[in-house]
Amino acid sequence: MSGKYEKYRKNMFLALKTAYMYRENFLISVVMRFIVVLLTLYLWKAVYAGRDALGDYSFLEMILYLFLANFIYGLGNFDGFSYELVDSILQGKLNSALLRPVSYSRMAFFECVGQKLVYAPIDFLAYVIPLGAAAVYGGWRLRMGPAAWCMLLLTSAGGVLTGFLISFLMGMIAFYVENPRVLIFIKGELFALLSGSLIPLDLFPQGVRAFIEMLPVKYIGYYQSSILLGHVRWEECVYDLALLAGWILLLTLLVRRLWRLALTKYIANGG
Amino acid sequence: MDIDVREITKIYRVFDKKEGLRASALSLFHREMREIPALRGISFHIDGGEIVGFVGKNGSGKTTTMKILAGLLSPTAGSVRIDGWTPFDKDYEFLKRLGFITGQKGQLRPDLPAADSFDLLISIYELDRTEAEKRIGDLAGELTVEHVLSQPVRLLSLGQRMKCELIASLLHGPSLLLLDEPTLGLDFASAESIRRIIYKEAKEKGTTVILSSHILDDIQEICGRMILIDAGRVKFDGSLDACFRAYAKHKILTVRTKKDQMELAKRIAPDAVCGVENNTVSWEIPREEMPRMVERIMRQIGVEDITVKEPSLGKVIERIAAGGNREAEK
Repeated sequence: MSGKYEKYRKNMFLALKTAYMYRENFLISVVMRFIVVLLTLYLWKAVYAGRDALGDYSFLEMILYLFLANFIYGLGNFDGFSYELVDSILQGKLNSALLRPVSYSRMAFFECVGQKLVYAPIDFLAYVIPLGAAAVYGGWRLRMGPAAWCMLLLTSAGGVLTGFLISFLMGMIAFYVENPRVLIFIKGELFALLSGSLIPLDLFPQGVRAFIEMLPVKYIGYYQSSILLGHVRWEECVYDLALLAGWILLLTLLVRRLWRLALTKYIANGG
Repeated sequence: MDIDVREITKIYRVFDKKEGLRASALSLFHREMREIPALRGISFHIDGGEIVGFVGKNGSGKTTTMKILAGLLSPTAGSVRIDGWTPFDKDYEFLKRLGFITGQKGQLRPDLPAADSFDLLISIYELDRTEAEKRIGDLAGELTVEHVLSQPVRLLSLGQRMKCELIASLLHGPSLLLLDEPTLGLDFASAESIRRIIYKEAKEKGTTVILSSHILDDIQEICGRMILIDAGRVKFDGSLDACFRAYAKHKILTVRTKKDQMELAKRIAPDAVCGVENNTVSWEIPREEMPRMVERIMRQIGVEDITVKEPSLGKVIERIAAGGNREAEK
């Protein structure tokens, strides 16, 4: 990585290092991830009791869908960062970051990516093992060509960036509102639903689904699972990528513009 | 760095919270905002390389002024220019020349060793790694914290943490160093070593230093100039000597004598006696009368020890803040 990005890379690795400082936290988080996988399996097994399919999804497809959607949602969910930004603004902890000759949003993004890197491999394992089991015992075969892999990677990266930018904007509400934590909580619940990580968006009523499909949140879970299951119509890929790029551009501009404005409201509490 | 501050004001708008559940419920629909003027037209000029002390009571506006100088806050009115930069613009070239330490909030990551934070700062400020590491070693040696650089910061003592914070702030060789209560809560030895390093840096590198502190030793030991801020206004701006000359008409004369001569000593200028303890008597004597008073005492009693001191800076500051006139001009 060139000198210009050296600081971001360092910040990312410091975030990784910080997470590994707390061994117990790390181990408990790892165990919890596998428990969540098991719970998901049993929950949906109960839902599918006595039926072959839900919408267009067989039990196996539903499990595959949910695991990938949850994996991507885990990568693109930055609610923790929103809360951290709120605390930094309200308690004046932003001071030291603002005094450095470096972009705060970029440093924060790379720090978040560093935190994600701690658990992403564990999540990947937790979800890939059932996927492998499905392939071996359920007769499911992965049918993804190079184009599909590219789309999966591109939209995943875009989805993660989108999730970060939205969380950044949510955190910035603290410049204007005394305690925006409840808003961040509501946003988190809403996004879990709208990203399709709880149930596939295909199961929503047509009108609602058409609306959600215009939002960037579909790129944080639903879209990647749809690629995996071969539900994406390739003739719409260009449109989907353009929509994602448009959202990233809009959110980036919003973050930049509002950050400058919001800093005039910052009162840098404390000594 | 030259600092030019002209007529800055800062007004905070705060929500007036009234007592009681009813008032809390009503505040959901209607809130009364109150304006708190933190600064009421502050002006001063600081030349590059000066070491200036900001003094004043809690809530007088010192920290707000420091934050405006650092670009953390924008003034409600007035202008601040530092070597041509407006701090609030947060120009990277300006920030590269700035160091800011606060006693309460640090820039080191609490969960990691200080060495990791230094490593990140080397990349952020794009410093030459070899030179920067040598500088860290030198500063850590002088501050006697070499042995703690690999321990998580949250496990360090307050003194060790502040010394590491100082290293982090000096690492990039700032031209302007803002220090807000850097020795707050530190023992004498730690405070002394921090003062020594700050003074050395300023003298060797021509760094402009602004030090805000309630610990007047900090101000007296290293600052050539003092700006007293009270209720958001500059009440005094000048050298410490000028401050004492203007506001402290009296000096304190203390004499130790033999026990049997104590009564005689107390009868010399009895109205001016300001302290009696064991075998010592202290008088508050007008500056111009001091030589005659010393001569009189030496002649009338047997003196074992004699000292002449300025009154404490704290007392002088209290007097200025209370609206005291310049005693010398009375």
